[in-house]
Amino acid sequence: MSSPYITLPEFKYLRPKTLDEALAILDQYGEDAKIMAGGVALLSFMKERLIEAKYVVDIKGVRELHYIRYSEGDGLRIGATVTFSEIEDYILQRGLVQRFRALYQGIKKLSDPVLRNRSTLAGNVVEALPIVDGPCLLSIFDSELKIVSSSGSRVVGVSEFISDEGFIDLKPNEIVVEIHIKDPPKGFVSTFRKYNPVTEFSMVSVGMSAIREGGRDLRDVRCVLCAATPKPVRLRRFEDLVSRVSDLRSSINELLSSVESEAAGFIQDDPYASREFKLHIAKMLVLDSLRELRSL
Amino acid sequence: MASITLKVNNVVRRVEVEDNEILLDVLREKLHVKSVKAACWRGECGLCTVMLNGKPVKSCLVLAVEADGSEIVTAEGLSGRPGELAPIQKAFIEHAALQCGFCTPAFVVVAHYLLTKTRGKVEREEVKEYLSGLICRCTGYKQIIDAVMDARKHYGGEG
Ligand SMILES: Cc1cc2nc3c(=O)[nH]c(=O)nc-3n(C[C@H](O)[C@H](O)[C@H](O)COP(=O)(O)OP(=O)(O)OC[C@H]3O[C@@H](n4cnc5c(N)ncnc54)[C@H](O)[C@@H]3O)c2cc1C
Ligand code: FES
Ligand code: FES
Repeated sequence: MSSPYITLPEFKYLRPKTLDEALAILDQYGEDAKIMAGGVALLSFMKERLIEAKYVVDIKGVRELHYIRYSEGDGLRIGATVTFSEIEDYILQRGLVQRFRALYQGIKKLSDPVLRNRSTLAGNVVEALPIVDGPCLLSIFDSELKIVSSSGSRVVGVSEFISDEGFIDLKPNEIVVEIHIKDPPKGFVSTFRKYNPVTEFSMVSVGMSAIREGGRDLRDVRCVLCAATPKPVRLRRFEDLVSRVSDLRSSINELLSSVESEAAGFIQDDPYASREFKLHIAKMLVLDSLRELRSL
Repeated sequence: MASITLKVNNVVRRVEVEDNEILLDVLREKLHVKSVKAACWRGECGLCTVMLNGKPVKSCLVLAVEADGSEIVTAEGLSGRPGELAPIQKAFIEHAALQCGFCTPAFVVVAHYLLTKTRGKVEREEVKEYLSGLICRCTGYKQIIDAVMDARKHYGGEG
């Protein structure tokens, strides 16, 4: 049939039922095969001829990849085919919103509820474009990916998975099978902010977490700057400084100039916004996040 | 060519498709389910949304082959009874929640899902948020949200 619509190039569709079967397909076809989870990114890119595939390997039929579980001390383990909607529902139903607050907030702002019925966190992290939210959300927590090929498995921290230039550490014969978000320690608070004035995609995002023990003092502050940077970046000098200041009000200027000088190294002009504008937004998001964590 | 079976609005249909055919195209061009609209083909407008095995999805980003054996519901089959309208469809008429009507089939499908899932217990903000993946170029959304809020009473909520 000739279609009046934007079509996909030709490929062969494969739907393995087990992980072993999926891995054997990748071994056989190498770069010619592309994994499909939700297909939201893959099919969009294939329509635009930005990704080529002779074989599309749909892993939604692999039942062993479809699970999500939480246990105290271990944290959240999310199989590769679990959709964002399923994660959202699970966090809500299991009463885990406070514990994984930044993740929950981020998912609620990720694309839209209908797309989230298909798209997966694993697919999002593999897509790894600076503008997608998954790597940023995982960087607010201690998170790891479990990656499997026919010759074995390995575990990689999310920050090592994406190189400084934004390339991912994944071979054509490997599958990300699980995302593990470690259980945060007692007193852990977190928040996520996304500035996206033009589309669903972020221009600048900030994730922040800390430990709060009584009072309003924060320690072990983690501040992650995303979207405007090639990969999620920890603002370490700001983190050090903020853990040391006792009176936030009188230290605001010092804190914000530390954000500015540190973030300046990662942010560039682009057709949507100048570097100055994005730096300004970054500072505002940091300030807002800090205020929120102190009042939670 | 693969032969796939879809249950569309309670009728089992068998259709031949290529591996690279999109569910949206097959529904419109081969099965003639014309309430499903195509506008952006890239997940942005939401007007191709259908219920696939109980959940709303954007059918321009679903392969027809992967839907083999699935159940699909569109605006035509929303009430489950031929020739009848679901309460949300009646509410859209009462509130004049449309002008050109191009977006309406997708809005009623997604709103019907939300109201069923929550048994009509949703606030205005949640309705707005849930419909945020659908674009309407005419109404300004107010009447759409009003219609959904009013229809809550037919799904177990207060209305
Ligand atoms: C209109 C629109 C709005 C969007 N808005 C946002 C947004 O606000 N924030 C955001 O973060 N993203 C957004 N996205 C992007 C999209 O939501 C994500 O990229 C999505 O999470 C991808 O998941 P998926 O399961 O559909 O992946 P797929 O499309 O199935 O796969 C994505 C890539 O990962 C590979 N892959 C998938 N799973 C695995 C695996 N387990 N192991 C190895 N490789 C794998 C695929 O081969 C492919 O290259 C948007 C997309 C659209 C179309
Ligand atoms: S046509 Fe599918 S979202 Fe626009
Ligand atoms: S009524 Fe015309 S697009 Fe919504």
